[in-house]
Amino acid sequence: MDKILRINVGADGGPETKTDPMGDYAGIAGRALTSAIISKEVPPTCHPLGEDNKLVIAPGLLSGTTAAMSGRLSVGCKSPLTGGIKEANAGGQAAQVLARLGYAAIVLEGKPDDDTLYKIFINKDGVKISTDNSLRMLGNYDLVDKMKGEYGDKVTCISIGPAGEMKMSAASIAITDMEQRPTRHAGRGGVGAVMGSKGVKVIVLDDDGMSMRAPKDPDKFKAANQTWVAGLRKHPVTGEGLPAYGTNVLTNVINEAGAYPTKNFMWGRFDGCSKISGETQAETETARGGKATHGCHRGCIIRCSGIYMNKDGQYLTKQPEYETIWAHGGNCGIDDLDAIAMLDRLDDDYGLDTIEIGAAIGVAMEAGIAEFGDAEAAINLVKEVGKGTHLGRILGNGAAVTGKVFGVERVPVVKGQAMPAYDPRGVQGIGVTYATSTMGADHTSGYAVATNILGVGGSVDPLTPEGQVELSRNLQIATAAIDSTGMCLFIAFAILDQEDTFQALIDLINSFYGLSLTADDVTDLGKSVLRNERDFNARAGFTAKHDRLPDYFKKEKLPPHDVTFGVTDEELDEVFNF
Amino acid sequence: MAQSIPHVYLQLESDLLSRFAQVFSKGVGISTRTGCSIKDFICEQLGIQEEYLEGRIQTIFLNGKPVDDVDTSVIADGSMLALSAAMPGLVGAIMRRGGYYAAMRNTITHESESSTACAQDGIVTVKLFNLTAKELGPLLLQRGVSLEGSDLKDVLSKFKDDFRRGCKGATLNGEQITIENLIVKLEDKDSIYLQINPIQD
Repeated sequence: MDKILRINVGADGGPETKTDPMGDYAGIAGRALTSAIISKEVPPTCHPLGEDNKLVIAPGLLSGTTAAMSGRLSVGCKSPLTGGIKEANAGGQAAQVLARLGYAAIVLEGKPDDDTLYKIFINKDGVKISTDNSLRMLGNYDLVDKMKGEYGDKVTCISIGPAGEMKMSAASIAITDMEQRPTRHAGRGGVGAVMGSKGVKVIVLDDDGMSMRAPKDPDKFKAANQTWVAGLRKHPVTGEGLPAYGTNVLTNVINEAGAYPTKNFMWGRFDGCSKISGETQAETETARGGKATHGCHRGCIIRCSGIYMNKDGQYLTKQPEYETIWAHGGNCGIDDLDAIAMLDRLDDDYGLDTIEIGAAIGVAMEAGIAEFGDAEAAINLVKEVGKGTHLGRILGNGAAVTGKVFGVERVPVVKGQAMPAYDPRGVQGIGVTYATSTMGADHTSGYAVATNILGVGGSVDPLTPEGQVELSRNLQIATAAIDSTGMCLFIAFAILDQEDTFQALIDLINSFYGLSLTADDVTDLGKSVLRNERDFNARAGFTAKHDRLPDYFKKEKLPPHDVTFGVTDEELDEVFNF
Repeated sequence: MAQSIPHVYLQLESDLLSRFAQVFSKGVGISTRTGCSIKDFICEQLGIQEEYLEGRIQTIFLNGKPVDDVDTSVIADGSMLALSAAMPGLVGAIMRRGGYYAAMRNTITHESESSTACAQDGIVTVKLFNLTAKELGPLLLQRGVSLEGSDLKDVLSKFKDDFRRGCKGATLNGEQITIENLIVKLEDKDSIYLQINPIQD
């Protein structure tokens, strides 16, 4: 993993490829690499769909090795949704395969002269780019089936659906899973639209003939991996809760806390929660012959996903995650699990961010386009997006655009990106992260709950507003670091509680690269990633005024606890004071 | 309560007790002595071991507010108590009782109190989520719980074939009844008292 593949799709005579050494980017990977390239090479004021933007696809530091949980893929660009820097990441097979092929990143550059569609095939022998306009407007499922027919049943696909081709700001990039289904998505920020603007429909990866990446110190690496796996397996979240119920196990708990955004963030509780909870979902999957636990890539031992079958016992979609169940469920007043699963399938097929589309439909429902709770109407609205009707294009460009078009004030976005499934009035600390994240409202930006072990917890009383700010800051630093390793963020729970498991992660990196990193070095990595991202956003025109929640969160009380967001603007401005 | 509302008694194969997860996520009524701490209620009155409370029940809500201290939070007649194992996600960590990130939800945290509630008989609604439903649910069903008749009807209807196979005896107010007839009878029952005797295969 010592080279960067650059593909200039705007070159005279068609796309040109070149392979660069790592150069200034040596030693970094994942989000650290995508953000470094974007920050250094992309003019911050460029149009996100123009020739100057770049799409960077990068596996993590440990991807392609035998380290468990190392299969996250980072995708970076200037976001058409937020106008700022973006890193969206996904599971699936691509990070492992791309790393084993030796690439630290693929960078798509330039802009084609016409609307020709390209497919890119990469294997041990090199890169082949061909024109294939027969793929136009194919959904991800049909597209992947076609690629399987062409390249075999071992390849991995990185692709866009119709939403990406139509350059919608909610368009995702799909990654195939172990069953070659396009179920894992770099969802947020419209990365699929940027891939669409480059005219690239699909990148097919084949690592046949390649072997696992070899560590510098195999014995230490093997020992560290054993400790790592044992630590993940013994922790109640990573070893029991997530495998049993998936992330949707959160539905009942967040609802009970009164922080479950319901009907476009009007209430903090949803009456229909028990019908769409992780417990009900797991029971339904098992009863229909699906799976309540399943990995999204080889080497995953948490196995928080699953297989969702329809009422006839036929495959419908992978197990929808908590944020999807919420966005299409409680946020739209829908308590029909089968309807939500269908919406998830459609999102995956069209290539859409489930959070952004669910939020957009919630705003549209408030505008009266459909009734809250009308599952059939919601399905039809997503189909409008897939067809690219005028209404569909409005929804497909996200909640902020939908709110503007229909004159809705209650639009839950920061920097143009829709909030995920936790109301910031109920959980004020996460509101700080929503407001100040470089990515727009994003629950994963401050996710790495290990700051106490990283030693960046600070000495401020966490019960004060300053403490909330400090916690959010440190969470964002730790998350940026973990996003650079290629590790799934769900490892965070085990390394929060178990110091030996955190040390095992450091040992994995050190033994693989022959380094002697400490926790401080990991913290410094996280800080440098955030500095790059903040710098890019500042040069793109973002100021402190963009680090704010919409006003109504400060004014409208959220039932049942009747709370508003109370962190002041001055306090928010202290988050990046490091 | 048990005397004043319809009483349903089921003898079920033990594997069927897991089918009641949805009932526990909505909540069941428990007749109990109130005016005590959450810890006393869980350990003394429900008979759950303290090690289980400390090790497994990582997240607790009393009347919808996350609890940090089980010794100083008091159960009263009409209280709603929800129990959960450790949760994923940052917000899962935030909700954890006494956790490092508890400060991030300080505006909704349940405030500890000195016990002013009188010790008296009352009803507490208990919700069990995720692993606690699987592990504690059978205990509560054996002890006896009250719930909406429609909630029991939903469970029996959803898994009718399973219950027809695995039910070795059913009574309504002491009279033998089939699962099919019980489903019909439950339609007009607002509240019922349910007790289940699990039978090992």
